[in-house]
Amino acid sequence: MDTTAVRLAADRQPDGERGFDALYRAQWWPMLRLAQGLVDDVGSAEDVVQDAFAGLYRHRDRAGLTADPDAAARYLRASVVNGARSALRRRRTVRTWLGSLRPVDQHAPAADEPALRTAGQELARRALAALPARQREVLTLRFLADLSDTEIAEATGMSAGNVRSAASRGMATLRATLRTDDLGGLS
Amino acid sequence: MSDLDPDFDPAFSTAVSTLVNAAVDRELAGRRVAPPFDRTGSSGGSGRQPRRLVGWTGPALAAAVAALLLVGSIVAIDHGRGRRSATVAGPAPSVSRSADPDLSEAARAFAAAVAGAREASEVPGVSVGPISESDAARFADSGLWTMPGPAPATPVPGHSYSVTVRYVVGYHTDKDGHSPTDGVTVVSGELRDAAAGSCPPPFLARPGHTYLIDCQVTFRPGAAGSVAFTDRNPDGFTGATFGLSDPAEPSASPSISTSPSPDPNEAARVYAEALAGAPEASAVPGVSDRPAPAQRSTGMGVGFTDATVVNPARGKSYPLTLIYTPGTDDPPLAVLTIRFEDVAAGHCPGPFRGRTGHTYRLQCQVTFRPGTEGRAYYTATGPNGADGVGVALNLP
Repeated sequence: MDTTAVRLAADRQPDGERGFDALYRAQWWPMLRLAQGLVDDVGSAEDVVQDAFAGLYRHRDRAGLTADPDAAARYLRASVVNGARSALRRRRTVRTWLGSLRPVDQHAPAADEPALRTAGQELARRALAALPARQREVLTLRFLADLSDTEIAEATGMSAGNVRSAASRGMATLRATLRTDDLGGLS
Repeated sequence: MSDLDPDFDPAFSTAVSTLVNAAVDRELAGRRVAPPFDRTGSSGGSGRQPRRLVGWTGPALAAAVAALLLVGSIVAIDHGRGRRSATVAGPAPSVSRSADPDLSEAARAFAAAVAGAREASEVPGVSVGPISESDAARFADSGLWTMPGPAPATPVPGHSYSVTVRYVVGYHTDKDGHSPTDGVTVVSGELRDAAAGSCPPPFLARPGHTYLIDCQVTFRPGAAGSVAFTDRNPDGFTGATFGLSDPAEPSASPSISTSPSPDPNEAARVYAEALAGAPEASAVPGVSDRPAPAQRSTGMGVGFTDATVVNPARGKSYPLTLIYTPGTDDPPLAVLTIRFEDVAAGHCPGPFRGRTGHTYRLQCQVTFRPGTEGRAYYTATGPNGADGVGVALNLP
């Protein structure tokens, strides 16, 4: 099926349903990875992504979102970032007054994984998670979605200058936290 | 990538990126295939949408319920101040409100609340001062409600009592990208189940301050009376409710039940029977048993759910995880049971043996009754009687 045929087929679908389905299948995994990077909890990440797609679905007829994969991806990224912020605030609320009851071994390595590599991954994850919120968001979007500073600015609502500043400070903190030898040996 | 950053170190960045990507992929192992998209929960207009389980959305109601259980005790809450308040000049993040209609609703309510609130220093009955260093260290990004004085044990109906509640608001530590004036919220209080009385009108609360809020209350005969505080922010609200006395008669909707038997022998007999019929938690399907975090090992037992259902569908059965951590006030070995109230149907595993120093997660199913929040009650039966705590399960 060539490009023209795809477009004709999509045009016959009411409300861009087919376009939405294709987007959902294509973007679920990258959005879930991004959400997981931001909230560090699989259940919350799935909720965030579900909400992001629900928002896209509700607005699927606006501005041709589902007909423009790039615009839809931008919308989804912004929704995921926003949803992750909300999820973290809600989680922080519970943790603050009830203490964390999250399973301590939720991300425990499988028995057959190389222990050192897993340790390096955990070091990097913890160091990233310990950064201030905006620095963490910026670097997570850079690492997991491979976005440019301009794209990160669009997803986070920050200016490009603030993105660069946050990224620079975040990387400086990571450099101070993580030993290059460790990363070189474990990556 | 950050080609404008003179300190950018591509090798280091690549190494960290590789590790983070590998870690996330490992955490998401087995989830690569997208689940079917739930159109039924996503169609319709731009108003508030029904959702399935939303993790960690219950703290506001849970805080209110838990606070009601802890008469004269403390409840610490977070304020969710990550967003600019309506009193702050400047644009709001462009990505937030269009993406989440629920948050827009909360933001509108917050703006209305701000418009009707005054500075705390201008409100009679409210005293404001700076937060102490020790409290600032304890309550970063969070707060603490306490009722310092004792509640009247046997209030005289018709007599007016003064009740003071202390609210400590910690500093907002997420300064990155936020204005120093971030974090303004609106505090309001109201009396419930009282003959007369009042609390100060709504006032603005700011991070780094301590507020003393004086309310006057006249009790009704046989009613416990309570005072409920709401701290509203752009994302929603948190709350704390204090019971004001021990009622002469049972309250209409008790959130805690304490039933020490007048006869110790009878209590011991009931306990022995319950214990004989209760297996270890590890032997009960749907119950997981883990060591409790150290900070939860003292005081009363704490029960809550790790997710709250928003706008539950009629007749639909929802899975819920209920969590209970016995405290040092609980017997070292108790029989734990869960019961539901104000729901159409519900089931949790149990009873089972519960021990202090452990946390139990129970996989339950519940079908809600339209328009009601539904509650789960945790009951710990020990040699001296039974204690219970309850949590709200959904946002109707």
